Amino acid sequence: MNKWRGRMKQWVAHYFNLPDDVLLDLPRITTIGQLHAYIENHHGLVTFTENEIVVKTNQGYVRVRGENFVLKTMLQEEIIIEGKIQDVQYVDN
Amino acid sequence: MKFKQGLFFKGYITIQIKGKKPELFLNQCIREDIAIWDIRRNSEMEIEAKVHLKNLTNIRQIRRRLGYKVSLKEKNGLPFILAHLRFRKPLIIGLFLSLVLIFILSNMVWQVKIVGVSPEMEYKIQERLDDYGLKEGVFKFTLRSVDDIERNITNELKDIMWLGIEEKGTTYIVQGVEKTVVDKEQKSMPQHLVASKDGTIMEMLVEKGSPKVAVYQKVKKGDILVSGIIEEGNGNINGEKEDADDQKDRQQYVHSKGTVMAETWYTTETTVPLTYKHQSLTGDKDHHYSLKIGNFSIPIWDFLSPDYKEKHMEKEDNSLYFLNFKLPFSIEKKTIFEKETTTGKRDEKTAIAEGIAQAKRELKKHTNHDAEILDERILHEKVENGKVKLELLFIVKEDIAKPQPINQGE
Repeated sequence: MNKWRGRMKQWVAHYFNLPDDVLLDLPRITTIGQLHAYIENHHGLVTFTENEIVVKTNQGYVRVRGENFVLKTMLQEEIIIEGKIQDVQYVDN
Repeated sequence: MKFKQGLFFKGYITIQIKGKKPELFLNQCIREDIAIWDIRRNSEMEIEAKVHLKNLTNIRQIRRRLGYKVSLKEKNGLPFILAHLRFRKPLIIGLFLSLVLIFILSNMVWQVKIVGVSPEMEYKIQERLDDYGLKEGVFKFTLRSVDDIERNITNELKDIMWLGIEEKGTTYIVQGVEKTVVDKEQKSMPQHLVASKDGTIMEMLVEKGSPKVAVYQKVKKGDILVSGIIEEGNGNINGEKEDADDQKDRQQYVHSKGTVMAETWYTTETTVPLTYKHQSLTGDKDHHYSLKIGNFSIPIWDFLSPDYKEKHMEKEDNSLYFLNFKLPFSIEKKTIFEKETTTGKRDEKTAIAEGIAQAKRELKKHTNHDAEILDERILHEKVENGKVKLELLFIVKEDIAKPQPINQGE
């Protein structure tokens, strides 16, 4: 049932030209150079250290690695990371 | 970043969260919709973050539930500054008092400078200014308008030609120009006396010069009454022709002097209404003060309006100052005078009498002080539209001699 619903949503998003992140509750990650990373539609913070941040998303986790991380802002919908970003990685369950 | 607006005014705190896996604490905060920013990892067990002051109670609740140690590290913003100042009341009171003091002193007159006049006149002006309340140590807003003071003093002191009062902050600069009495250097200048008006000569008193007219003679305006040229050879002009040079030698130019009283006629027209209505002030008055901010005014003193039947109101606006800055509010002084309207009717006879009296007053303004009205006659009288129209003739005895310098052509 759940799988079918997900497919349906994908189909709607495709045929009506709607952004996937809104409809499918997927994370949207925006990086500005190495300086900032905006992670939207997150589901909570798992790890936060100076060199690594792991954020839970709809499907799995997003791991951001780098140096001197500071969480600039943390809101229900959005996390803004500041520091020197080196890599962004999707990690499955 | 909407939540970061007005941070200083709302106040924010820096907290330290200690415990195992402080991320869980942050997650809880997100779930409760508490905005957190500038999160820093200090060590394995410790996190530092900033939150709004208003969320402090929520944070405490989370702490109690999850069992973390939360300590306040820094307090920022206006609420904390104010709270801090509350413990320093003397400072606040001192600050407030000094502001009030500056405000009061900014609205006082500190100096009245009188410039441009002699010491004697300065004293006189000083006296007058004191009477009108413009002196050191009074509040500016109690003063009457500067224009009024200027006008009144110029009227009262005859030797003052012009008086200007300039307001410069807390100093008033009074500038006066004295009338300089023109030296009568014409005193010795040769002159004729000529008629200033048409008339019949009644009396003559010549101190100097040779009279050219006789009593009961009619003269026209501009006629020479007393000549300033005296010919010495008057006695022996028995046909002997003299040289032009000779004649000139014998002529003597003098400063003729004297009074020539003549009867002159004036015709005037006046109209007097049969019903009259005029308003006068009884002298009763009431002062009201109010603080004006923009178009809004708050009464300060005397809230009750006097029970006058008819009122005449005068408004005066005095701006308030803080140092040299004009504040956006002013003190409005309202003076309410009691007014009285008298209406009445008069019959033709009194109207005529009134008309004559009125014309006489008018005539006095146009003639010298020593003029004397000998006779008045009504030439024409008409009642029209409730008004009496009069044409009057006045016979006046007055001095018509007017000096006219002799041009010697040198």
